[in-house]
Amino acid sequence: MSTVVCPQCGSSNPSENEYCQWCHAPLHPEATSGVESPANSEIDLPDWLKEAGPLIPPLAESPEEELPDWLLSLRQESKTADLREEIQAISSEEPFLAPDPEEKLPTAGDEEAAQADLFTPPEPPEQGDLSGWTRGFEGEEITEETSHATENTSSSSLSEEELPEWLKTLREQEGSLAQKPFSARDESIPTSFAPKSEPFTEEILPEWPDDLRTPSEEEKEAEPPVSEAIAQEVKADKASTPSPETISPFTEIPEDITAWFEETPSSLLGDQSSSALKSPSSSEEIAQFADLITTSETPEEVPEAIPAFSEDDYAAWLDRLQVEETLEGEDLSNQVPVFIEEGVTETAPSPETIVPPFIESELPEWLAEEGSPAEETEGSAIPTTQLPEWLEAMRPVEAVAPAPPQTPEEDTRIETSGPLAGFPGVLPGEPEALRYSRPPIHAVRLSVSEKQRAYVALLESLVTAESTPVPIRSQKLVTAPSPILRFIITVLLFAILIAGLMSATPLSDLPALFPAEVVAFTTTLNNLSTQQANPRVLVGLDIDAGFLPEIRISAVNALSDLMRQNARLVFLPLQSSAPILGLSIAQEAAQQVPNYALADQSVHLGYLAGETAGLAAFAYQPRLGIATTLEGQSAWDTQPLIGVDSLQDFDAILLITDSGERARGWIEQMRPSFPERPFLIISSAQAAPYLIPYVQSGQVNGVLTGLLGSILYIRLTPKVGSENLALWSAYQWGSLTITLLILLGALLGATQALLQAQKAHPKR
Amino acid sequence: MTDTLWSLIAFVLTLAILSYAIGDNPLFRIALYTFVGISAGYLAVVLIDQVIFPRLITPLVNPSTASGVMAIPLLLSLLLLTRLSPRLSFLGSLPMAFLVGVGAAVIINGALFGTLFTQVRAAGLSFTFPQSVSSGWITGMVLLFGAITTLLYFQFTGRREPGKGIVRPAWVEWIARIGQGFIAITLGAFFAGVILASLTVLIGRLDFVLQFINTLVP
Repeated sequence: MSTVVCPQCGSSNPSENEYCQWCHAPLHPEATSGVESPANSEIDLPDWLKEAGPLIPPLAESPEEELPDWLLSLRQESKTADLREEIQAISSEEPFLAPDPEEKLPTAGDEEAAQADLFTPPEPPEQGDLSGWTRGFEGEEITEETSHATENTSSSSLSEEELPEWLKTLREQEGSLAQKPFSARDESIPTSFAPKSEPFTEEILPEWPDDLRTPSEEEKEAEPPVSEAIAQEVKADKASTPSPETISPFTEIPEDITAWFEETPSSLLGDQSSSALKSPSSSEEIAQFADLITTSETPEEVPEAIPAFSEDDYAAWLDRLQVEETLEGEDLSNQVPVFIEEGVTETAPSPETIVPPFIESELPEWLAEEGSPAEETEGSAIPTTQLPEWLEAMRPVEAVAPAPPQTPEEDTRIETSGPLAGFPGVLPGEPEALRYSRPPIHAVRLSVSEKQRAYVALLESLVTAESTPVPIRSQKLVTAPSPILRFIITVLLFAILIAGLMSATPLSDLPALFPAEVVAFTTTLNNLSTQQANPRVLVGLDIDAGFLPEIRISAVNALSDLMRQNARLVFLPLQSSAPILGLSIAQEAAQQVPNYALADQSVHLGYLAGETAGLAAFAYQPRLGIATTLEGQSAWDTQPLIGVDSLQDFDAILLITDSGERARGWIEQMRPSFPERPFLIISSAQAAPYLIPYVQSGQVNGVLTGLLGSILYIRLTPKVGSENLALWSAYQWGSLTITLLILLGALLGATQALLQAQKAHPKR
Repeated sequence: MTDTLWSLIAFVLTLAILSYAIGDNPLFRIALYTFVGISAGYLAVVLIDQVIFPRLITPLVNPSTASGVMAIPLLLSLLLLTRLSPRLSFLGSLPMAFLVGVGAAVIINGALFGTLFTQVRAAGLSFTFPQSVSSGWITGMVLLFGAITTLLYFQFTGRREPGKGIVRPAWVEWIARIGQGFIAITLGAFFAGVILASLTVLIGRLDFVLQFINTLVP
């Protein structure tokens, strides 16, 4: 009973059935489809398509009958798809073609049938000329292809009984696989050795089949076949072997196939097996090709880039067939090539991963000279560190900067629109410069050493600590004494001072020890006349009116002593109220020296503006600092200033001030321009801490500070009036009272703090 | 009579100022405002009479060789007045920069050559041969020690420790404490000088009040 294999599900059906009893698919799609043959469909083609030439190129132009079946099928599919796209593109432009381009074009089945007709030689050999085993073998392959690729092929019945045991086993296994949903199968294991009908285009296909085909044809012409009988058989079988899409599985397998198979020489088997792949013309070519494949190490070097159907796989598979010679009782897995057993997924190789199946010796010279990309990469990988630094520095920026990543253009790109739709490798219309490329990504990571990291951490900690709020210790509020307490203290102090003034009874005798600065002041001031007759003394008045009572006594006594020496006094005020105070002091001092001509021997210069800067200007050139006297006369025409051009023309400087800061300004600005001359100071008591260091350093010759200085100067110069014991008494009583008040306040404050501390910490 | 009148005014104003002992009062404020007003008026008169006219106007009015030079301070003074106007205040930056620059230069120069260098040199005078007596050595040692410890007190460089903030080394901390003592003594001396000066002024005022009362009372 002959059976027909369902092209849809692959199950066996009786030959009488027109539809599959399992999936109800038509077992004879060509008969049921009703599609006309390509020859008939050619009539329906439009004129422009007819003028374009035959849809299928003539056989003489493309010797595709010598290509492997799977490659032929792929090419036919690709051509059909391209033609369909072209027609669709044209039909979109021409509406009269739009309605049903499928009717105008042959279907895949029609095309395959047409190809089968075209590939069929004019005088096809009879079936009996073919070896039975070959037909059965091809029928097995094609059955598997057609069943798994779900292509419309003409089914033929095959008797189950006539099949050998191994083929039955295969069919049973195949049937079991076919009953499963196709999608549920393990896709990693291809069920057919023919390539899947993936949209391979011709440009991505390896060119090695063509390279193989061309020398085979040449050799065909140049060399006679090894065995004409075998060659005739092969030719006839090849000519009768349709493409995988159109061939129909043979229906009968001769009974003596096993025996014939055993008697078949291995070379013939190899030739026959390989003829389905690449159709070598002779057994020598097969042997050479097998040797080349076995000696080629390219697949081993790049195992991950194994092409889906490389020659190694076919060779290993064919070699296994040659060695085992029989497949009876063998499992289907034995027929599976090695790459399938290893679980290599049958995927379309990308252009980068396609490994040429030929060794370099087979490549043409011009191609071999180019070398493989891997070799070029290795050769060009010159480490940059080998370059000297100066050369690195001289390199242009473009050479150092990373090149923008450019995505390699795929050669498989097919134009999808426009008049060149469907053509691969079309040059892009837009210029390259307008293409967007992702900007280069530069690494922003800095190479930071551990030491630098430590510094960064320290800096961060400092910045963090600065921004972190720190609790401020609660400061004790200093409360002013109450008005009553303040009034009591005031009254007490006033009473004591008034009592001291009125009683004139100091607590102790006048001081008998004289500080060195007071002694130096007195000695220097009273000896000016011994060094220079009528000494010219510059009297600086840098004093506020409020502190005049403290300074008045010493100032008046010092000026009177100068008047006694008939000194020429030049008063230089630096405060706004100083001129009046200077006049007052001078007049009071002059009262003690009736013989002294104050108006002639003294001059009151006007206010010296600018404070420190004015002092510097006066020290640099006195005539620039002061122009007129207090009365508005020309200062430098007065008697005391005649002949004075610089500060060096003065014999001494006597400064009367109440501020240590102002006294320091005088010293700093005047002393450098007035060296080795007496520089005396009468100051307030509050300026004493400032002035004593300058006395010790020798910048100031003598100082009288406060009321104490006045008293001491009076005691050192007995010629000067009587001692004012009332002031001294009040001064002592007042000092004692203030000291006691300070001590009492400190004691009260300490007691209060101690009590608060005890309240806060009772255990202490 | 005139002296008696001025003495009476002085006596009243003195009592008005001393009334601050019982707190802020109108009499004190009257005396205070009077003093401020009189001082400002007097200062203005002094400046005009003794600075502007003799130093600026007179040279410009009387043509001389210095007239052209005096135009510079006049221009700077006018520019300084523009600071009263917010729109033209930028013009006053030039004389202000001139004043600040010259003032800073004068002060720094005087501080360096009039105080710093001389005081540093004077710190070592106690150890020189002519003054190499025992008291001089002791004074010099105390002076040097006080200067070093005082300067180390103002050394704030330290290591930051968790929970303690910036902590100076232990030896620096101890020396700084000694320097802090010297600083306290110095400030105490200044404070004492201020108190004594104020006490002297108060005594002078009280003496004036008593004398004026004595003149009133026959």
